[in-house]
Amino acid sequence: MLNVDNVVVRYGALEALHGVTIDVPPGEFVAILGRNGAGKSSLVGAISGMLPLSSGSVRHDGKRIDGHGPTHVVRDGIAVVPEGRQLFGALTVLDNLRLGAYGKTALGLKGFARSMLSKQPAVEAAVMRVLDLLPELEELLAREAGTLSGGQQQMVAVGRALMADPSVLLVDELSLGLAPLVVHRLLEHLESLNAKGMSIVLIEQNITLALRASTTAYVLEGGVVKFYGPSAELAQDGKVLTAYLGVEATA
Amino acid sequence: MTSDLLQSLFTGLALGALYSIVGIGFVIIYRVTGVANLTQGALVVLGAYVMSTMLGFLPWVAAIVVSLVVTAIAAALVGLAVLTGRALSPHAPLIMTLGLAIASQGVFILIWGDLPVSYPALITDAIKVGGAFVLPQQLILLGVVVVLFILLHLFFSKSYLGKALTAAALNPHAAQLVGVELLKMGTIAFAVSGATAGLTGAIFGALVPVTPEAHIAIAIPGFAAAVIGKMQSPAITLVGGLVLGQVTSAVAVFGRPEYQQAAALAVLILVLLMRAALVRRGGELT
Repeated sequence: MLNVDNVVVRYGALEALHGVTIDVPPGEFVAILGRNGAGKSSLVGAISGMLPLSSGSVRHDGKRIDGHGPTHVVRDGIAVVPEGRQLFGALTVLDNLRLGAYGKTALGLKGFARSMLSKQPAVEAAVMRVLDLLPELEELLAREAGTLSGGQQQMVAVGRALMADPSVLLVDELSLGLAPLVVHRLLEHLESLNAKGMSIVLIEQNITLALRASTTAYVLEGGVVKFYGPSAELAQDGKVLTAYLGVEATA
Repeated sequence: MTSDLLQSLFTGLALGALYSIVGIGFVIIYRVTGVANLTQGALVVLGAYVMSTMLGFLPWVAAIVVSLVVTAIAAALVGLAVLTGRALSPHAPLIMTLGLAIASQGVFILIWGDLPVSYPALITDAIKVGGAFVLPQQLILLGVVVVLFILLHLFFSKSYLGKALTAAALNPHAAQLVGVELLKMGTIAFAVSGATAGLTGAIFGALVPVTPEAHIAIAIPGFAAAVIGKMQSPAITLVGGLVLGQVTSAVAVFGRPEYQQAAALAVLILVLLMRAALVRRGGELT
């Protein structure tokens, strides 16, 4: 269970999140929607440990995970697929995947000493596990990540996040700049991960897509949660959709 | 004349090896942290001084290991201070390393005095080649630099830690998200760079008496080599350093030794001008 409780995030004098509360029960597929500047990126930053909280807390299974930085968060089982993929472009797909497990494996003095070597048994085992989940990656392993298509890169970014063996996967803008067919395939993967018990938090601009995949949705506007409830309900709530997201009801 | 030319060539090779490895030290730190570490020359001098003391108690190889460990630790401390200081201002690291480099002179004088310190080379007999003298120590320096270059390449391209360092350099944001800690990586980069500087200093110090202010004469051509390598490429830095070694050595043999620094800077300016001209003509940015 991931709980974001009354979180406030400030950039200097500017307050980007004014007390946001979000609950992600185990195995749930949650969508976070909102227009540009609604506070979605700040929320991702707050959960991932990249942004310090001015107040409020982020808990995972009851334990506070905020205030210790992103390494702590990923070790605790919350992995992020960042907006814009953010791969290590000059490295191979295989090395990108391997690095996804860095926070979990290069732990302590022993882990540090072992990291001087090239082969890390635990990491290679994790690569096999991820290839089982995303078989499309197999043929890309030797390619330089920067040379892949957008869809392939997004697949690698998801794979890299899965390397940390997370219980919560935070996906920031899955569909951005990708062809519908590719997005569909990626979404299928997320749904099957979700079916295996992984909680998914999908931050999306593509409302239709996000509402179709998720069970619960939150709508952010001006750094505040304006709506939360079952996704199916929101899909028919024309008032909320037009007021905060600028779209018509989908059903 | 031929023997002068040969002499210039041999001396230039040793100098070039020194500049190359100092330049690569700059690159290692800059790639990971974006900091131009101006204490790089001082770390070489520290390595030489520690070597001079250690040779009183230890055999050559053991003394080298101690020098390398001491400079690695010193560099890690500099890194930790500088990277923490960056929170104050993005310009803090440059000024801090400059300050530490200048302060190091005072520390060296306090510990080792202001007279030049020298110690014997591993093999002292010079070899005569075509009227010019080669010191075996110069060849050892060259060999060590080549081996170091290969080891560093293997470390960065093969080891898990090396890949994490590369990841931190390529995309700091994504690196943090997978659990690569930037402060730790930056400190490690400083330590690795410090170890290479210490090793080089320990060997180079047997060729030229060590003085507290020698760090400037080492850092300037080293930095020039790194800039030629665009602060990114160890291979281009290696070549740049070797060329600078030849130029400064020729200036010393055929011109005047006091123009060596100026010659290094002239080469640097020339390379930068050529690169700028290429960019203006729409050529590739190399």
